[in-house]
Amino acid sequence: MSIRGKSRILVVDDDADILQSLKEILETRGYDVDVAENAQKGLEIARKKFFNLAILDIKLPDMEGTELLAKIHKEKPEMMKIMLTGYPSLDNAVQALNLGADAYLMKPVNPEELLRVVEEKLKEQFEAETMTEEKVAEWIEKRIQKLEQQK
Amino acid sequence: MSKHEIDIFKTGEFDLVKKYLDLVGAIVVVLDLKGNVNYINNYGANLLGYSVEQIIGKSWFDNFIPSRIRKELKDIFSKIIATNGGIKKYHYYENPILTKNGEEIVIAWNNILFESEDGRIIGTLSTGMNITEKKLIYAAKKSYEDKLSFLNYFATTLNSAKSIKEIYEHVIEGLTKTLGYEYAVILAVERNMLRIKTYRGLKPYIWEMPLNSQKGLTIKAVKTCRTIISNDTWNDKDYIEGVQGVRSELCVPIIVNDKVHGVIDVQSKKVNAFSEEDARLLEILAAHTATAISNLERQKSLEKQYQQLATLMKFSIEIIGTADVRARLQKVVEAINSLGWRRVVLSLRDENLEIRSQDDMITAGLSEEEKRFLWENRSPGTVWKERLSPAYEQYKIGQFYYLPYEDPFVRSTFAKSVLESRLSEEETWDWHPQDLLYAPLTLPDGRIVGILSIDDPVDGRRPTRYALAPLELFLTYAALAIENAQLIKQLNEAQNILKEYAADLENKVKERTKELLEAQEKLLRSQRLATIGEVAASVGHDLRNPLQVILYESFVLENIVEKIADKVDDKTLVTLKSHVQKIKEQINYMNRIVLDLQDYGRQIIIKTSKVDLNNLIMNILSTNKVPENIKVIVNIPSEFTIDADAESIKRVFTNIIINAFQAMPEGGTLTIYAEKEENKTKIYFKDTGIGIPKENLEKLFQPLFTTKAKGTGLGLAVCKRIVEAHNGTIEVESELGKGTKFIINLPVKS
Repeated sequence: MSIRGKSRILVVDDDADILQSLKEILETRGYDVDVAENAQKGLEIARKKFFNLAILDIKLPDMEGTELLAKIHKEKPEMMKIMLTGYPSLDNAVQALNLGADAYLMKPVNPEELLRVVEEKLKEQFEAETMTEEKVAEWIEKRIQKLEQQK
Repeated sequence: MSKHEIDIFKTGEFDLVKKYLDLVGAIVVVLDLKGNVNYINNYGANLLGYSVEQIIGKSWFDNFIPSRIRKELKDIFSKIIATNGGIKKYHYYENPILTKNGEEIVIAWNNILFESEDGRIIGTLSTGMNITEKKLIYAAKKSYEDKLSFLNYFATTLNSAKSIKEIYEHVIEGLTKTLGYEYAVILAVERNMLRIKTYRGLKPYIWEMPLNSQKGLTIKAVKTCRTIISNDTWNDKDYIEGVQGVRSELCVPIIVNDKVHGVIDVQSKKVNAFSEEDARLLEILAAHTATAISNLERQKSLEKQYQQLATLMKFSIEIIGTADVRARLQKVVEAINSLGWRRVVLSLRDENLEIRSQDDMITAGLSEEEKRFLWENRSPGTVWKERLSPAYEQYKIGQFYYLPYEDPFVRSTFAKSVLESRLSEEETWDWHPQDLLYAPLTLPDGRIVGILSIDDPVDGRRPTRYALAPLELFLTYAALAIENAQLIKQLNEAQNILKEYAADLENKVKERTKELLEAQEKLLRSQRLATIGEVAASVGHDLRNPLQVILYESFVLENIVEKIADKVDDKTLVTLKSHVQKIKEQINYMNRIVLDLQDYGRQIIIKTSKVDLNNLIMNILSTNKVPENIKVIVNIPSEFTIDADAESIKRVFTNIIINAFQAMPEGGTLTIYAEKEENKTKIYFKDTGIGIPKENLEKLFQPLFTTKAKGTGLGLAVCKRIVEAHNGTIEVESELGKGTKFIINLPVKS
């Protein structure tokens, strides 16, 4: 659960059935879900709206999933990105991580596993944000103390 | 004259002397000082044609000496008398006497002067022999010798002649100079005719006669090789009038090298014009002529030989310098052509003596029409075999066969299909236009590779061994040229065959390899290998999405079951849950199959590095749970490395290890050990499991072969592929009930 209410998740997969099933599963868990059946649409939606996390299929009709990953990562580095791959290989995994993926899962993925990773990644994201907020607060506090001492 | 001397002539004693003198075969004359006849014997009177009485008392010089020498003799007589014994008593001289008929008779005289007792000259006694006949004989002899010497001198002139025609002209000139006949002619034998070559005097009206004529004196001379004299032609049954009004004829044959070359013929309108002596002279002339002709012929033949030699050398060089066989043979026929044969045909023959194509007929001196004619009318090989058979041995001259048309057999056999001669009658000597001359081109081994036919000799003469000798050289040349060409051809063929064979061999190897590969491929296909390889990847991927959907849906279903848990009874809930669980299990199983399929269809890329075998095995054993009833013994030397793609080889080892665990459901021991052997590494996985039946061992690595209910049959097939991609091998040894041993051989990289 996102601290700031519902977390937003973008799912890009060319299989309409998968999109439908996964959307239902994620919505049941309380996420706000948008779906796209190709990379171009996914990219457009990601630009219009804020998403905490994206689940990307590695094989898409209009471009390689890794390419989409790279593009989204460049524009939205703070977004968590989970790659779903058809065939597991070290090369693929390394490449995906280098391109900015936060997790790498093999299709068919167990929904429980997927949900676990999604929650984990959202938590990581939340913690990172909190850390930043705390640090900013700390900095402000110290700054105030300094100013007060100068008075 | 003294009284005493007179007395002597009047005495009886002198009568005896007179009787004696009358018996002497000589003329005896006594003259007085005035030159009057005192005495003449009977022989003398008879010689003069008078009686003794008619002569006595007459002037000797005025009556019995020819007037042309009368004065001269009178003077001599007067001088002798005047010397009065001053000159020799015996005096020999010749002078003629004049007979009553007016004829002159030459007398050789011996004179004696009569002297008186007191030594005075009183007269002369002359005795004389009639030497007229002797004189005539001598004169004739001299003329004959003169003519002979002329003829002998003439012989050198004859020998300087440059042509036969010139010889004829010299001879006929010589004839007119020595013998001076009214009509002279020289004839020559040409083939079966006797022809006039030159003549002097009357114009003949028969110019030639056939040699087989029954009549004709010249013909007779040719036939008999003898001199023929006819001194009364009108009564000679053999005579044929060649010139009008001839009464005598003398024919002498000119015999050159035992053959009659021609005839020297002289004729006269007089009867009995020719003597034996004329015949002898003419024979000598004929002999000289024959010698001159023979020399000329020899000289010509020598010149011809020189020319031939020059031609031979020229063509030999040209032939040697020509590479192509047909060009060479063309040179050969041209050489023969230039050696005096106007038409030459050389044909290449196969083993049946057949000509294969018109190109195999090489000719010189033939028109295109003639060539075509020859080609179209060529005799079959069998005919040529016959013509070169022993049956024709009699016609052989050296290597050539000369078939004279006059031969009845030749005439009957070859009358047709022979190319018409271009020689005219005049151009032929003893060669007949229908004569045949040919020779086989024979290789040293006796094979006949061609036939040379020649025709139309330039000199119109029959060939002799001598004339054909240089041509035999060309026969050899031609045969060798053909043989060489054949050898080169055979060599080329052999080389080509070899080349083809080599190429073929290569092709065959390729073909075989291809066939093998195809067979193997086929086998692979039949084992569903290729098909699987091709479809596995896409099937794997295609199944992935539906599987994902099922997974998601079963999860949704599971959630729904949770939600309605309080609305159904426990039993129903348990049943529902177990159904969902089974679906999930089967999805897992399907997922493994998909993984295997994808593994199998995936292209294996090997990146070898040094991999520590102990570490690798330990890693596998840590990530795969070892059943409790199984003991694993790892006996690998420390720092034992293998050259392998770590990820791939890990899959292999994992697969084998899991298989081993599954083979020991009742527990057992898995021993893993390794050793280095020359340039390879051997890794052993030995279990004490149930073992693999023999019939299954062979199929073990085949895809889709499995004895497990839920095995995909792809695991070991993938292992094999991976090991082979390392250029290694995988072996298996197994004994039922005792266990199985997998051995993986990997090459060591240098």
